[in-house]
Amino acid sequence: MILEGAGEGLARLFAGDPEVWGAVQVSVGVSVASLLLAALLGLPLGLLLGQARFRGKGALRAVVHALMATPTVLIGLLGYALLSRSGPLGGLGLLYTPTAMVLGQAALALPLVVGLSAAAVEKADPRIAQAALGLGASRGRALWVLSRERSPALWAALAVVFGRVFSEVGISFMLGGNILGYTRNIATGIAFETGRGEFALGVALGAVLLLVALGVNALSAVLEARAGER
Amino acid sequence: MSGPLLELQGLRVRRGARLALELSALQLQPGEALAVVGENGSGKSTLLLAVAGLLDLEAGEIRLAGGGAHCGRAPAPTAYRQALALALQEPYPFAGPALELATFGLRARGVGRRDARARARTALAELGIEGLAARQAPSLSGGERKLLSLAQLAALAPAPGLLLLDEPTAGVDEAHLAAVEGWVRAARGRGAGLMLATHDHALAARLADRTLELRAGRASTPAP
Repeated sequence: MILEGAGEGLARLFAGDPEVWGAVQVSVGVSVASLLLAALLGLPLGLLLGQARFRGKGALRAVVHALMATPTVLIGLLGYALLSRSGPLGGLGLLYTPTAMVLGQAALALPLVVGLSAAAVEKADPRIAQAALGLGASRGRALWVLSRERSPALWAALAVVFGRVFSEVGISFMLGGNILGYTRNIATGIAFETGRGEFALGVALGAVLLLVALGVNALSAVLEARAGER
Repeated sequence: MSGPLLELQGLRVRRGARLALELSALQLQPGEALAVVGENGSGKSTLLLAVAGLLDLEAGEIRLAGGGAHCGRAPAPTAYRQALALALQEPYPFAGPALELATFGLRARGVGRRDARARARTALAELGIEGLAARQAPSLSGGERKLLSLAQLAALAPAPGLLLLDEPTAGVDEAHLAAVEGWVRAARGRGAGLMLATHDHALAARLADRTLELRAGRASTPAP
């Protein structure tokens, strides 16, 4: 039955089935938006955490590392509590919208971006900052030079985070509601369709998820290798 | 300029848990050159990095004419660091063409791109490496990288007042040695002070007015 479903699923995928490709579109759109949001906030914070010296840095790093392991279903639960009709942000009417999914996934991505980008610049050759500062660069400019020199490692970190948000289920289910053609993405589509015995659609969506996951991991590996060369 | 260019007092610097440098006093006048010599690990690079404002000072203060003071935590304020320029012992192979990299210090001081490129081109020529202008820096040899790092300082002429050169001729071939020495003499002629860390006693004798010998982070011959 599963093999039969797989064959049919792949056929639907290649035939351009709107249900399959609609979910793909939601997944890509929401994940890219959440990654952009998390990168915008998280990269500067990560660079500072990796390079600046301040009291309580060790404790902050420990908190970030702990948050990196937050289960997605817990973020979904917290988001639901905030955005549901009786929650403090219920008036915004965001629950079960792609925007709610973006905010939830960004909350998942933020500590990952901060932690991984901090690690990427902490491993940097000390001569980068020494050369920039020794030639009169301001601290901000030196940080910019450092992030440019470490950009392969930073891109690799973002690729890893993209893979994580792209494949998560808990947040998308709880904040998006799995509404067909609106908030159903690949991950919730697989869970939902498989749950009701529709293996074909699940396999088609699973194939796309696998392809993206492999692509992102390969990209991350190439970027990591480039970062290691410098 | 009246008064010393550089004045250092009661300096103590740790690298990790190790006390890497302890120096009671040091002065440098404008246009003066001091060679810092000593064995590997004696504290030469540590002294230059500390004076450059890049290392925490456990104790003491370094005053720089026109730049204020460095004491306590690194990095020193930008105004202090812009009153000097440092060429590292092993330059980092930054990505980008040599000409662009030679403009770095100028761009950090707010000089426009076009002006900075013109001055960088002159600096590359002064060190005899104008042919490398378009080359990607990571493809340069160790000696060429060293010359490029000196050109980054040369491009800043007539400022800054203090040049810190860590092993400036290491890996540099005979053909370019004269260019390096010529540039150093010209910079001194313009009133720049110089601190030069080197293993090469002959070079120290040729370029410096006096020598500070370090042994295990302490002055074994006091600098007059």
